Amino acid sequence: MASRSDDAILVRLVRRGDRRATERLAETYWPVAWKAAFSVLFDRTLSDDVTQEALDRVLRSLDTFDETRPLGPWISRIAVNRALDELRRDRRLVRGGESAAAPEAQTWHEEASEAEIAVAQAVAALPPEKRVVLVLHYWLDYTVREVAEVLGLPAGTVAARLSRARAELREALKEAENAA
Amino acid sequence: MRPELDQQMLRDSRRARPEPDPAAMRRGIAQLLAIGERAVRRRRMPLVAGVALALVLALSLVAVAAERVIEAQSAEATTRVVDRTFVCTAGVIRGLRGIKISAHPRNEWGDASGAAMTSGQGATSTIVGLEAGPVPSGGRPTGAAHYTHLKCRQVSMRIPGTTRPRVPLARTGLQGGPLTFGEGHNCEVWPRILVRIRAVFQRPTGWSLRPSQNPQAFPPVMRAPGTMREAYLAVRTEAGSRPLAFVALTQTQARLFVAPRCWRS
Repeated sequence: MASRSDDAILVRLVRRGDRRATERLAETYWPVAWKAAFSVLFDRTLSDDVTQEALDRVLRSLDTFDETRPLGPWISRIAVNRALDELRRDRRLVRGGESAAAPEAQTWHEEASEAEIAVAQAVAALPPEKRVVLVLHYWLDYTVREVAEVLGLPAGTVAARLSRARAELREALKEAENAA
Repeated sequence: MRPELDQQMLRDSRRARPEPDPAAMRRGIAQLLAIGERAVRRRRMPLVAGVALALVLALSLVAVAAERVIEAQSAEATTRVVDRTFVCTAGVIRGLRGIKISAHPRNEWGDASGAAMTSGQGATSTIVGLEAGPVPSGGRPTGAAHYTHLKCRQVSMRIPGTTRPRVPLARTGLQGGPLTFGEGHNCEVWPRILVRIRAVFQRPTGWSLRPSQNPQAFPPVMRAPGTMREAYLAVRTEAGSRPLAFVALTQTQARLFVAPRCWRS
């Protein structure tokens, strides 16, 4: 990951229209944005689209970006917001009860442990409204207050959903282990 | 036996997230660079470039006319099959960037089947269209494949550094079926989409430019006239290549399929 001073130099070069710098920024932060989007969507193809939209927004907003801030978290948040827009547009956040089809085991990261994959798979199987609060908090390091703000929910509701999500995960993992 | 789930395990499970597909990443970055270059050129254009802008427009028309000559000389000029893939720009209606896919079977007045992709408002809204042409019993004596030249760029192997994106003529991932009456569906999209049209004509045809006296209001249109036996229109997102719509036409029938995210207009 680039240091803060690398980021500042990169931003200045991109603002000047330096194509190589733009390419470098996109190559460095595409995976960051993509993983943030995938955390919300659990869909590779949707994540491709959302990542391109997010990075396009990033490039358009660089003129007003405070270059003393690190790029990664900012880009990640833009990708998350776009991904949430996609979920809302699809009405999956509102409908409730319809979870993403959990990705096949072989699409998970090859270096992940069996336990990590099992938990990730259980997370993917949660209903969207619980899954989103969980990944925002545990995978993308949003505080409860930040999750509440981005989802437009009271903090208490977020805390309650987190608690229920964790309980559901424990049950799901126990069942999976008993079935194995 | 696995330890009970705790907060650290939850955090660690993010390591299981897959990596992005390198090919999709390369495609997406290539498009971002192309957009960026256009934006830089716009920023650098001097304010006094009214004359320069007029010159550019004039040159564009010349280039379009030259393309007409090339089109006339190309292999498609005498072919029964036209098959083109475009990157098209979607317009904005009421703050939403989107397209409308519509299709109709042969109607009671004898008009043959047709399909269109429109975007934006007014006379500039039609981007791509297919009209199968007259049916044996009569009807409107028109048939053509057409697209709006200023909103669509044909994807070609002649452009260095690009590869022709694949737009299958298939209904995979889409919902719909044969139409009894005309139908239209709206889909919210990102600015650029991939569009493929394929038409099998009864007689050889070729593309020609239908110029416009008022390009702002009525953009020039590339048109391949003739009566079709069958025709297809397929639309996908650009980066992730997600299917959005697919239309299959014969002279009398139309089948329309759209993505679940689209809604009936």
